[in-house]
Amino acid sequence: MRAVSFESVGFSYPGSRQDKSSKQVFEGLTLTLVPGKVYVMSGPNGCGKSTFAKLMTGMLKPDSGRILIGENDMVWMGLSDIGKHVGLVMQNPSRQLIMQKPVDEIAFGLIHRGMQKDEAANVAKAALRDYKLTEIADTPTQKLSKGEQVRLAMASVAVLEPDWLLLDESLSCLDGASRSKVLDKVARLVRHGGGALIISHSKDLAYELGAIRILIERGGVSVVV
Amino acid sequence: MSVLVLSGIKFAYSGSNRKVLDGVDLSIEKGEAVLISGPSGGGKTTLCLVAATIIPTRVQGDFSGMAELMGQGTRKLGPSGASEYVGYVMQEPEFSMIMPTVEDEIAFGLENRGREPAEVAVAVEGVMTRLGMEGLAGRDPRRLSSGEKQLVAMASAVVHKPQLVILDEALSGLDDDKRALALAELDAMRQGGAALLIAEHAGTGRQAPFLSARRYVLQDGRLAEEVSG
Repeated sequence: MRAVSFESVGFSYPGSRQDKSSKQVFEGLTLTLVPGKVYVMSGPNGCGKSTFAKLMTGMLKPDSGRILIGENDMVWMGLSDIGKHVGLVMQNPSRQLIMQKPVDEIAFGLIHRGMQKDEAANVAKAALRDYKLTEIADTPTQKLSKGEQVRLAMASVAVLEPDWLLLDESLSCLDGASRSKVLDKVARLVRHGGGALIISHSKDLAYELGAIRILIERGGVSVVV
Repeated sequence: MSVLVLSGIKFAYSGSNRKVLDGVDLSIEKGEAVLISGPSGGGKTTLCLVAATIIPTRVQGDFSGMAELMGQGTRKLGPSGASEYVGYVMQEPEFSMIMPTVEDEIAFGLENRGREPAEVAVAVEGVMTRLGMEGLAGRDPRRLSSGEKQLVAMASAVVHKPQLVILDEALSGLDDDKRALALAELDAMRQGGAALLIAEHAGTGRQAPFLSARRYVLQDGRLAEEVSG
């Protein structure tokens, strides 16, 4: 299991045709996330929490500085390589669900890792049971409720067994039972040496999980142990 | 006259036998707030779509029961007729954003009602100030963070002072400061006579006491009033 290090990372969104000003989100951000820990990230709307998650998954590239997974600079790693280490459940999970059926959604990543289709289907069915999604196994993924989509995205990511699990505001649309299930999975991952970063507005979550808090505010990041 | 009356509402989405709503009765009066919680997939979003008249007019499925908004049948009223009465903040608000700047997005509904430009500008500036959105002026709404998009969607939904505001998990992505401003705006509207229908997960309905809300749980398509204490 590998640490993820941000070293003097700068990032800004370029301007668009309508909105010409570029938006600086991070400048000189230095931070190391150590495996075996849970981090809860919070901060005001628009401060860059989701941007941080996208940088950590390689979906965005820093303008300056570098991000390391272990000793490897992410800029030299392909998305599939990064995906072996970091799995993300996005704030709007409908954006990451690409298959028609939930079972195929879970199997998709496994098949692309080289697992045989039959075996992948069996793993996917077990994951559907695990996440209490069997009842909606035949419902098109885009017709699921947001909470169901979060659980499906979580199952799809978890079967790939990444070192790091990133949940971007994923808990806010889960009911109590589903939330407990997801947090159990996070705890299990951490017990096995992995790490988790949970983006949440909840002030209580870090205390509930005994997690390290990362507070992002415009212009700075602080870490509270 | 009630703002919203739902009686014996049943609905199953096209291609599915599962009744997402299975006999829902609910009425909301002027100045009332109603908070709906319940498990994922329990039907909260579907109930919001019924209240907004999008079901049964725009979403296919097996619908039965009686739904009235401001005394008019929702099937006849439809979303365009209902838009005069309803402000709807969807769970994923970016799907409803179409204009190039935040101000244009908020102004869109008023401009389409033929309001004078000066009146529109005052209304837009007012709601942006009350919701603490001054820093978003001139920004492209599609390039904002999810929480900021929720704010823009809320401003767009309330700027024309609708009789019914529907919020589907619409406050979950707001930080504490913005949530407080949003709640103050909603409470002012409620005290001015607007009705509020708020769908949120159990345990996240912290705003319910603030808004003096009646609380219900929607589970397996059925609505049950939550007894406080």
